[in-house]
Amino acid sequence: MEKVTIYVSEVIRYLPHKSQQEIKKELTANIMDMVDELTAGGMSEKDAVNSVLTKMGNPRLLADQYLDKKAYLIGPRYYPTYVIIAKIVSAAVAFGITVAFFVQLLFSADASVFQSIIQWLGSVFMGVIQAIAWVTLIFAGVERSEEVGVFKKVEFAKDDWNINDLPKAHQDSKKSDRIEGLVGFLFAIIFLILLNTRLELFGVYMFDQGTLTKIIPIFNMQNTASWLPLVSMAVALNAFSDGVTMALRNQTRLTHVFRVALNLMSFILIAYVLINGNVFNTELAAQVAPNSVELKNLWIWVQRNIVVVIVIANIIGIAIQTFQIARFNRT
Amino acid sequence: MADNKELLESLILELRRGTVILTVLSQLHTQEYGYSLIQKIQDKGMSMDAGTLYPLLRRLEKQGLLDSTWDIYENRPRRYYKLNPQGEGLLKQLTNEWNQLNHIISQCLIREE
Repeated sequence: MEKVTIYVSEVIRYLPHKSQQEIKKELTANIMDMVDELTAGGMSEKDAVNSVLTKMGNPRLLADQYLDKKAYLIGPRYYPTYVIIAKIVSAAVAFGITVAFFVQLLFSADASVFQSIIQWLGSVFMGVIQAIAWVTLIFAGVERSEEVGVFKKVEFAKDDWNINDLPKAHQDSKKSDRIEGLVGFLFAIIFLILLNTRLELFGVYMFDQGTLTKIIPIFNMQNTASWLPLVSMAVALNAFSDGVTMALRNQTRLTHVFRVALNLMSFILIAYVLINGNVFNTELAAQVAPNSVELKNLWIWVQRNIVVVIVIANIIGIAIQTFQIARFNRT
Repeated sequence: MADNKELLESLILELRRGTVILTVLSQLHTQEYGYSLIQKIQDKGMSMDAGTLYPLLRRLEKQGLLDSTWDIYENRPRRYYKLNPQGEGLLKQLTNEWNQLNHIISQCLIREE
């Protein structure tokens, strides 16, 4: 009898508090009925209890049956997307940490190479684990949000799929597109790391008789908090967009829309920072050549017009991508 | 050969899984508690796992197909389950579905000469 109590306790401890007592009472009665039948047939109570509990099986599995909940973290609907995103994010983190370590190694003379390699391995390991953990957490959340139907309208997870949702054309990614994505991705990550660790490297290098005397920064070094986080975010969005291009073997309308959305967000951030923030070192011209009026005017012109250049470049880029979406819509 | 036997067992399990609910509902025109229901089903020649049945009864109640009452006057308190009108209606539809399926599959299984 004691074994039955223990068994039932093992089952209900996984169940919600409010149903525990009910199930305990009901399950105990049912088990005792089964035991009674065996003892009536001549079996000892101990053997009967053992036999019935063995037949009932692992209490954890029985509890699962009572729970009737999703026994998985990420279901088949989101799993393929989850794998792709986890791969991109892990690759970005591993690569980013690697670049950061190389930069550190190059600029700190006294670090031992062996120690740095160990540190690098450790950081990559921890970084990738954390990245995967976050992606998993987010996807598990998305999976569960299904009960409230938030993601039911998302194209790849739609319930009420109809024939019009089928992509108009199926296109394998060109190898060149994927390589382009890879290159863009690597550059964006390197840029991101350098921006955040070695900002002073972006500048005008001043030489005196062949030796570097100083670097005059292009960026505003005094108030980085006002622009650097937003610029970093924009670059990260770009990296993610390139990462998607790199990782996907075939393109659909959805992946194009997704990339355009990422690039658009990135562009809006950059434009916002350039218009509002003081990103550049306004004293650059004076520091490079204190007496040159032409250079001063040129630098002022550059600061004013770089917004225009970036806007035009981005509009062209986004227009090309939008054209690609339109191509998918053509039957 | 051992593999074949294992495969057969898993296929039979799969085949039976779909029929569990129909079987249980069909035996609940009169009220039954967990163990009495297992016996009733076994008497008809169908084996049923207690670990499957007990949680299933609660689930069917939650889905609004069964009503349950506690009988505390017996020597051990028991929870009795019985089909409610909604459950009766659904059982009827499921039965029709089963009969059709049975007919279709029988047709499929006739070997064409």
